[in-house]
Amino acid sequence: MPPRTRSRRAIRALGCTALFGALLSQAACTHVPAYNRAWIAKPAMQADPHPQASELEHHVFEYREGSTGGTSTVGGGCGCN
Amino acid sequence: MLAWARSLALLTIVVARPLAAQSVVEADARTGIYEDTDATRIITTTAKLKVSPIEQFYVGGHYLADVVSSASVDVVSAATERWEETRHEGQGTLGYRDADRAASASYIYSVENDWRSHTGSIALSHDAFDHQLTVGLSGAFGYNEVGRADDLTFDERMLTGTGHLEIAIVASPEDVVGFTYSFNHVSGYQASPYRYVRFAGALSGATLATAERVPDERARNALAARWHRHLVGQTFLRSQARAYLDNWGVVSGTIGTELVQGLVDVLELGVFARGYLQSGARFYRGAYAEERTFMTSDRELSPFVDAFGGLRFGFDVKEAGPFRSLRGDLKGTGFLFHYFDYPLLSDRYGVIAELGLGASL
Repeated sequence: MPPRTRSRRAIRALGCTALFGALLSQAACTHVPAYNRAWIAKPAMQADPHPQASELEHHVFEYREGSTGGTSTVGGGCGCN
Repeated sequence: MLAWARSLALLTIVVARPLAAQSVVEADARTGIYEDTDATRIITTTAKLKVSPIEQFYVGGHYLADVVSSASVDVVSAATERWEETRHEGQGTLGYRDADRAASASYIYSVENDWRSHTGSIALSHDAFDHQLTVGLSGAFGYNEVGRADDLTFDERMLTGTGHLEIAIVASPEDVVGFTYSFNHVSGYQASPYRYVRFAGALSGATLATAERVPDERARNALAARWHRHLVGQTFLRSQARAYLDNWGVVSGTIGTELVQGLVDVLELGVFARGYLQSGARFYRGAYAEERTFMTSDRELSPFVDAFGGLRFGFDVKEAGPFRSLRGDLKGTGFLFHYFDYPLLSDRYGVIAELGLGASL
């Protein structure tokens, strides 16, 4: 594949991720009081509710794909540490 | 399997209960079996213990064993027969956590017959704006000694440095979004000591073979976004996307989602799917017409697409007899890979089955 095409694809992929992020975070200005975070505190809303399962999963991906990184461990700001 | 579960329960009660009189003790074990159509089977078993002897501080560790058995085309191309080996990994962690901050330091030692590695890492996170925003920063450094079975003269080194910057934002009472940027730099020996590349000889035209050669430096970047949303009742949707780019020319995109349904208070069902597409490294060729500076027959550096999907069934019972929590899950995953330019293999299918059990005292 020519380097120019590859660069375009890379820029497009990064742009799509940034756009996805921007769309998702546009609501972040809304303050959510602590008493209104019942759903946020649920395990399914955490960054990594099943860390041991995730470790095995990432192990499979790292050995069988040419990519790495981007995994999340920081939680969801529910104040429920 | 029953004996394994019984041993975990016994370990938790006998070893951990005296410690638990004034502290929190968590024990978890997990085993997974990977099998694919390329004649590879991997059985991974891990056991983890975490103790919090003083409020806000904890120590923890895990042991992991990977038993690998393979006769894949990759192995056959190296002119070897089916092989089996075991990798052992031990990890220790010291950590601190309060209402707003978390910090931890970890060390991992991993060894197998032809590879030994030491990895140290630290992680910090801080909640701000009334827990509306969480920022995390982590870094790791790894030192790897690469050998070759039955060849004591083969002795190479590989160094890795990794950094992650993460933020998580409470976007609404029902939405959490997060972003992660990861940078990974690898230097030193990164080829496989067993892999050879075939090419046409310049003069004779005969097929020749040489050891795989890849650059000594690799800089890898990943940017990921995730969105976790409460839909309705006990139904949640967890989605993520990732873009990846490195200086070897590999570009990839990943998307994934999981629908999580709480069945009753203690049961949960998850349905998940993930798709991945990557370009090949710029020096990768399905077939080399001549000898080049860098040459590889690594299918992980070839262009391909893959898809994973499956089900996870979990339970978490609080205040069960002597336990603060009893938890477990069963997970089944199916996957397929399609290689666009890898002459030895065009498709690979497989399954992964996992069982996890855990308890807190």
